[in-house]
Amino acid sequence: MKRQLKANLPLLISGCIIGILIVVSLYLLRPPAPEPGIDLVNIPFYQLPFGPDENGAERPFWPSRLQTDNGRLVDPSKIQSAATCATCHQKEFDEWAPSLHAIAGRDTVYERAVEANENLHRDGIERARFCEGCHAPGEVLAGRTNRFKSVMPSDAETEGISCVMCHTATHADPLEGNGALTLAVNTGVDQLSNPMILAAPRDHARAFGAAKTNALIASADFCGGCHTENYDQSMSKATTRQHVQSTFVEWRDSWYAQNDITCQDCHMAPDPASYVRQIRDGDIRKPERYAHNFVGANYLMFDTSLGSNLTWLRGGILPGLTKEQNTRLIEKQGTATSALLRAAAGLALKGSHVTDNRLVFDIAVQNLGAGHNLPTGVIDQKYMWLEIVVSDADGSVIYHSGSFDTERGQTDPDAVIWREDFRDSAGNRIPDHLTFITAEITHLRKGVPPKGEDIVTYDVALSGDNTGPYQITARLWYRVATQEFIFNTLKTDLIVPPFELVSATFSLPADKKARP
Amino acid sequence: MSLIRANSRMQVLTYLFALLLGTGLYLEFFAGHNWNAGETVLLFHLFVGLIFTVLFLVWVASHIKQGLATSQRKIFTGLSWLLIAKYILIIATGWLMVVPPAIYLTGKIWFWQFETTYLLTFLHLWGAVTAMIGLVIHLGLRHWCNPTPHSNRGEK
Repeated sequence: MKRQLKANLPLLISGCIIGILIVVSLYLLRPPAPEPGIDLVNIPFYQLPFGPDENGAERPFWPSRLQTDNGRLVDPSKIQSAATCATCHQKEFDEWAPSLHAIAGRDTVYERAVEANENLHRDGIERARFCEGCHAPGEVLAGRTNRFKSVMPSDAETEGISCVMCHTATHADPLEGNGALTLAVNTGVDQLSNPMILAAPRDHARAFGAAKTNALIASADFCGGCHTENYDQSMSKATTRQHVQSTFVEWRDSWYAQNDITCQDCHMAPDPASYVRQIRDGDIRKPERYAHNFVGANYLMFDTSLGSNLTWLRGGILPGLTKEQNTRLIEKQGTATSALLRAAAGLALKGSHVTDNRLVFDIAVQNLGAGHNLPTGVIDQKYMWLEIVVSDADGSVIYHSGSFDTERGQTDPDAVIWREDFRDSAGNRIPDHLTFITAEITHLRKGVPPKGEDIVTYDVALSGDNTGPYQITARLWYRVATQEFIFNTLKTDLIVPPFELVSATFSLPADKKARP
Repeated sequence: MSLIRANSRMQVLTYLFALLLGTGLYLEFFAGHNWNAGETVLLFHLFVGLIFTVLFLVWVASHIKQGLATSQRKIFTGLSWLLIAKYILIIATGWLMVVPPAIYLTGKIWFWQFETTYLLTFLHLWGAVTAMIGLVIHLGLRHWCNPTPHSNRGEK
């Protein structure tokens, strides 16, 4: 053997062995790390009014189906705040900060609805884990959704669906819903110092975006964990399972699912409206990147014309944002939200005829761009309606359905409305989103399915003075809250403005005499 | 005397390189079991890497001058230059990866694009693995010509 090899080979081998020994010794010398997370018994006065599961195990987050991977609660001081993530991921933070996900647990409409529900029962606060599991998972996982607050608050708990609440997910059940997500928020994160993250960013990425998590959060299944909502005996008066929000199933059974167009493709596209129009034009390529805006349909939370009322509605300003940044980001997101809403629907005249003294016509309300029903989600507050104005050749209005009273915030009760109703055990409608006393869900009219249409027939009485041609103006409106809810729950006279999704004008060339 | 010093310096470098490779392999393949435990190993790896860089750059200049110049075989010379290029690559990529934490310590945030990080890590890791193989070959490969019937030149 050559002299140099003879001299160096033992060094190479021993160097490698010593390297391994150093690593092993570091393991042995370090005090064993405690199991991450907090044991249930260490949360003073934590209430478990719903008892154990069928295997006898405690259910600390029930009636939410949210879970941690090791079954333990989360130390609130260890939950990474999105504002901390923004140190390096500023772009993603700026996208997420104005989103509905960021304010899911703090917006005033939600907060007041939860309070109204909590006041219905002695264990109302614990029951509210059902709501908070999806809206404020940090609060639930830390054990703060409890009548006795024995856990310290933290910034991260106020951030709704923050970075770690998605980027630690390891399992989702989109059919079960009600927050059926498992988060490795105790074990799947690193606590590395910033310089060390910068020195080895791949380790940080592997901790937060393990292959399993990355695949899951890119799928519609993940969204379905929360965008499927069923009421049952665990949190309501329902004796059989009531489907309150079926967004995932609506998508699963649609053309979009068959063509692998997922929730993320539209709602996380850099320009969601343009992407939806691209899909409408038949180009189903994936977006070039995924932004963290999660653009949805709630235009109210981006209506900067509301001034300070908007800040109040949004529950203040998120940690890590200045007032100016907040306003700038909200305006941008508002523009994207309006554009997305306008890309969703269409109106078409499907048929018409004039008989003696009657003008009969069919208006098709079309779902052209949404990969779920239109409207979707929990639509006891959000609702859509059709406004029809018919005028004759003189311009006189001879029929008007679906008007909106801007003074009182009321929609014409005789309008064609797409909405679901919560009903109590006596069958009475509950106008205030009181989940815990809801026994049944009924629909005034079910949402229009993806790429489907709902045909509404109008039968207008004509008088002898009316002559054609007749002009039909159709407007499809969307509103995110009923006025009863705003009055009763928010205790305010703020009028929630409706949003015009689409409008169309149709002329019927013949008059009643020409086309009997 | 100077030969002994040169040899011992070379052996220290060999030793450090082996340590770096061992800890590097651990960081790549095993740190995933416990992200936070990897921090100490990473610090150790960075510290040893800094020492190795200084010692290697000082040593390799004289080694090229004194050692490589005496190579009598083209294959040995070629492989040796390749080995040096690999070490330069490992050191350069290592230093490039240290730039973001160094900038952070000055109070600013800057980091490579994620794809760049992947490329740097790939080159750093697999450069080191192939350099280890190359080193063993370099150490074991004959750099003198085989004695011909008319020559009795060879290593003593």
